[in-house]
Amino acid sequence: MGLTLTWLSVIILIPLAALFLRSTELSFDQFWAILSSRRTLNALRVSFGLAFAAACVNLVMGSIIVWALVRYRFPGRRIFDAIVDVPFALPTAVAGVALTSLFAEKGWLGAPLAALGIKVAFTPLGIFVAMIFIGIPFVVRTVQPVLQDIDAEIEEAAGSLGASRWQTIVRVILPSLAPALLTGLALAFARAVGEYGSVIFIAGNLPNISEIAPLLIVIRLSEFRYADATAIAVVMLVVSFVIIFAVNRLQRWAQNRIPVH
Amino acid sequence: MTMQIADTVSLASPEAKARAHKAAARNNLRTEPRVVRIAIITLAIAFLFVFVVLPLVLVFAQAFSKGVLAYFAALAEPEALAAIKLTLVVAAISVSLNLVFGLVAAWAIAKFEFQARPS
Repeated sequence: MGLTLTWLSVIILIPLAALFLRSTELSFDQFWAILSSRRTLNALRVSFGLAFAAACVNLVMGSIIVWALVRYRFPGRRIFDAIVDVPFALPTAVAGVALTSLFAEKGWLGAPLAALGIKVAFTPLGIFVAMIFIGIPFVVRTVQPVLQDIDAEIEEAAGSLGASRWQTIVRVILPSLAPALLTGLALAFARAVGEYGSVIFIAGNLPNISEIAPLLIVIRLSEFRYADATAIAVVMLVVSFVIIFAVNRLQRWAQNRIPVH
Repeated sequence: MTMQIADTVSLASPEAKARAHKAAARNNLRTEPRVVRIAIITLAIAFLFVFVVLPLVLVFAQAFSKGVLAYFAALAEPEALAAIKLTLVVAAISVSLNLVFGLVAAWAIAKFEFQARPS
């Protein structure tokens, strides 16, 4: 246990503490001025808003993918199961370039979308796509083992006691999956908020429109405005922490609602 | 054909019949209508295809766009080799450390009671 705390301290807590310490060098007025600037607010809004939207899409699509992979047999199932991990392994910069050329106006998917009047690359929509890409394995890999472990007997009991299939899924299976779904949502969201490599290629990076907060931090660092960078980082950290903590609570609540297990 | 089935059914012992009936019921209770199944599989495949397969195919298409020779020539550059080597070595070290300390941390969180531990 001492080992755990030491290791966690060295790897996670000390860097975070250094970040907070650095931000205390700012007076409150300075801190506030940095945060309330239009560019910072917009960057935070873009990052958190799109990350949340992407995490929600991943939650829904991830559940559908998990259901198909676990419950059904179809040609290529194993290949698709393996392919889910690609966003983990592909270097984010490579993913960013690939998604950009895919969704650029002359790309394989960008061209048909452009014909419909939808621009993806170099718009906030592009950021959204990149965040979906990097988040999907988190939902699938957290929910998959839980769905695999659900006892067939529970479902059969529900079915034989007269529940319709839909009722069984919504009232029996879904509550058992809820903690895993929430964990997947939180992981996908956290990853999307902090994502840098794949997003900056596809975003277009226009200040106030498609500039994400991590990019703004890097820009401030390259301008030697360390205080600004630290202030934005601290806010991101605090907001992320609050959200993850809330999800954690929600997860606990969902877990306690399951009578069995 | 129908005769055969009727024969086998009538010949089967009551236990076997019960078992077959149970299996069929079990299948009915644990699956969805065919339309729903096909819709879910299609949706899953379409999503993975657009968001994962296509970018991946694109990466390979770009990598070999100047031919296989150009690909291996680019790979054989000393800088590329050094970068790949560094990545593999660092990943190997950090993964083994994560494995050990992750296990220790999981053990501590799951097995011991201490302050600030999620209950």
